[in-house]
Amino acid sequence: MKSMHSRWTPALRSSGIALATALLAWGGASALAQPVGVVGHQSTVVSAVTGAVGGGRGPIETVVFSGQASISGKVIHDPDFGNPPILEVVIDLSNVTGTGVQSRKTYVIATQAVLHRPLLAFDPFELSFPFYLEGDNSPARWALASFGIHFNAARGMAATPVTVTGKRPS
Amino acid sequence: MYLSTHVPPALLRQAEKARRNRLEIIQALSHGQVSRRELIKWGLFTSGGLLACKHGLSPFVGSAWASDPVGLPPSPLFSAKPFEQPMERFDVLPRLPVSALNPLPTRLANTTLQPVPAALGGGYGPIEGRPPGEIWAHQGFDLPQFKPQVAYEVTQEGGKESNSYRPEVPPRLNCGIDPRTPVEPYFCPRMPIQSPDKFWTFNGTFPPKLVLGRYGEPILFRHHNRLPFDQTQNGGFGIHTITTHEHNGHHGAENDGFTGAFFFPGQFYDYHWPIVLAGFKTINTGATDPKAGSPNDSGGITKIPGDWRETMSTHWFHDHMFSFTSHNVYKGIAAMFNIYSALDRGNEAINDGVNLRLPSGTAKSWGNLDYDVNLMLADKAWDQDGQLLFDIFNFDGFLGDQMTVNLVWKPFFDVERRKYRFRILNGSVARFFKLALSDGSPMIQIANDGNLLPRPVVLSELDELGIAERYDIVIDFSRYRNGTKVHLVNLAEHDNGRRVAKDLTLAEALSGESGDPCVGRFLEFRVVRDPPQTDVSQVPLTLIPNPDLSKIPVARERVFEFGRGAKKTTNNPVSSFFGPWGIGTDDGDKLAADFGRVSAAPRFGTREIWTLVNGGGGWDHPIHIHFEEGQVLARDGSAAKVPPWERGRKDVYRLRPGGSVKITMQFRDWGGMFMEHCHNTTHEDNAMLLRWEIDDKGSPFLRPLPTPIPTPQGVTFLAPTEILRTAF
Repeated sequence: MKSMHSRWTPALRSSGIALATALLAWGGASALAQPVGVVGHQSTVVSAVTGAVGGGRGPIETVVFSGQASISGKVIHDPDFGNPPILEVVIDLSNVTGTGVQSRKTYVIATQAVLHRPLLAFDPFELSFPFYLEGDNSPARWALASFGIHFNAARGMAATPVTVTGKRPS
Repeated sequence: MYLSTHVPPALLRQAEKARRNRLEIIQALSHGQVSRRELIKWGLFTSGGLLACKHGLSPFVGSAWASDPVGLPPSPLFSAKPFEQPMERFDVLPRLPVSALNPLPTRLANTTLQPVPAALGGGYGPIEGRPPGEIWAHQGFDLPQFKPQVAYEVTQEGGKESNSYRPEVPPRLNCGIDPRTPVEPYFCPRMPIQSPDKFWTFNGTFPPKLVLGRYGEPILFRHHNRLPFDQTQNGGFGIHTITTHEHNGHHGAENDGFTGAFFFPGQFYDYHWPIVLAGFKTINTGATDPKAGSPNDSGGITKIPGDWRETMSTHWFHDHMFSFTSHNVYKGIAAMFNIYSALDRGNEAINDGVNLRLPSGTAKSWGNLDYDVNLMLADKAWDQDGQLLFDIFNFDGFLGDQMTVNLVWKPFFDVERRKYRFRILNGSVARFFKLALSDGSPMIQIANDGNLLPRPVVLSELDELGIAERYDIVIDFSRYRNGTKVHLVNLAEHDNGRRVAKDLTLAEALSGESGDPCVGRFLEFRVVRDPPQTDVSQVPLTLIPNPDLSKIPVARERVFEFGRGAKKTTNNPVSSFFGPWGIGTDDGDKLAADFGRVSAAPRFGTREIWTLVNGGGGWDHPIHIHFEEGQVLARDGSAAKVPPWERGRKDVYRLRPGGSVKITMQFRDWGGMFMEHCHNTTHEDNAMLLRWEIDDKGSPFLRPLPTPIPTPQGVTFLAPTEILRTAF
């Protein structure tokens, strides 16, 4: 698997406020709903979102994003097969909005994503997400949210700030 | 689990040898020459259901050739290149008058006798495999509103050339394919034609079949079993007895494809699909609501009883043979079914205030397929001769190493610069998908499991798509210039069939560095022209709100836990099966499947809440509950954790590793015995299935229902092998 770690590390090191802005909020597990010995740490962090997507030619305007991303993590163990744990990550960008630089109109982001990843001390994420003017979901534009999740058995999960760009994922 | 093509040839030879040795055992088991019990006794099979780890037999035991475990040899490509072959659209089955059927369908099973071949025991047996008598009679068959108005007549047989392809769109909307050109049963023109014992498809032909139905127009689906009489003529896997599940039809249980109501070669089974809106007995009984309706041939609506909020759109139907569903569906017994309604008309131009005008077309009053495309995704594998390959000794879940869409290997599909609707079905055995467009651009999800959502959801990456789940999405290609190529990409990486190992980022999936060969691009959209007419289709901001169940009292709550280590408490050789998987009901033990056991029996006309719990973290289960759509109330105990795309109605509930789903559903209109099971069909076939039944007030139900035990000479009935303490 291609590692994106090396590409991310310098950016993270330069981001002194990375962990400072991440708020750690522990969530409770439902006893009924969660099998014993399978579900480990669960937490939700809120991470600041900043960035902009440049406009192109014609009526497409630059959109500046701000708000907070909610990032929930759940560690899932595999006692039956003894495989390494995975992290279920739920990313919710619904509290992020975009503002058109020219029109001052508000762009909506309703994205949620549920991802399963091997549990790592640090895992870089890229998530493309659509945004559109309220009440007009077609055609939507899209942007790329980039962030990283740290996990430490003692301290739990933390997330870096979320950076939004118009970079193509491919 | 598949070896790279770059490993040393000696290692590939070793892996191929192990696979062939294993296939001999699979073949002997599927031919009935040995039993699972005997394999355990010989030490080839563990009591947990796993193939013993013997070098030369298991592909995952290290050899002298390498220090790493041996994997499966990759499927050869025969010089084929991705995206060189067009994706054929589904083959639309012709609508027939019911009077064309001979013999005419009957309310009770047709027990006219016919000779039974020696290979099936000789003597005489009924021409119809449906269990005889009142319990399996078609419910409502003689009532005018349920009397079949249209018939479909299909066979199940080995793969052969097709000379009657009916895509029901002009060639320009089907990659230029001339439907008069014979269609051969292969994954790609460069690959070998599949032998008739490997592929068992509807009518024996490619592409997969599509039924176009509409509400208020009851269907009689006659299914002939023309598979070989000789059980050994199966290409080494699959079984020639079948039962067809219309997933997730709101029909009486006699038409549900119950796993124990299978029928034999030489027989037919008449399935009566009344195509009703759920709640027709109690809601809108006077048929006054124009949103509850059927599209008529003049572009209007014929109003029907029932709750319009229960309108369904995208179904599929597939084999449900007890313990062999994975084999038979993998061999090709899978098709799709579009249901049209007042709301989802299949005509984007009719503007009557009811029609949602979703992308489709305009030529016909209903059921236009021009811009409404069915996609069946399935991973497959084939041997060095190019013939379909399956491995029943993988109890995690069989994974193929090659992606197909509509049974075509990595195809392309021409599109115009406008909106398209895609009805995407995961038709795999055990593989989950997670889909994105290669440029990260948005898609609009409009339906989940064939049910239009309350509101469309705009996404750049769809959620994981479990086996049997359907996502209907809209892609607007007007954003691209002509000549653009954009791909559908799979982000879900597996390293076994238990669950997704890693949801990759789009960049990771496109990098080509995943060890899972089914990750990455698998379908190429080629934007070829502007549409000849203006695109008048819409994606309204409101689609179909959920039925409001809050005022219906909850009669009962039940908990089902899905996991390993099940007990085998019954021993009927036909109805029970043992494997590593099982289901625990309420506070009871996890039990291995037995379709003779009654695990739950909701009362007719009630509503219940069921909590589905994944008992482990090492696997996921897409749980399918037959008969009526449910609403997800909570995930992991929290309503807030239900994502927007699951806030409509569903029939497959992905539990997620270590997760749980709380749903509510009603039990009304029809009755009989139904099922609940994991739709990772490897898990289902290896004992993760249970029977539940709707009891009382429906007529003429007994309490409990007797279990059908089919034979070629006729169906007998047995009392349930077990009734769980908490069932009733």
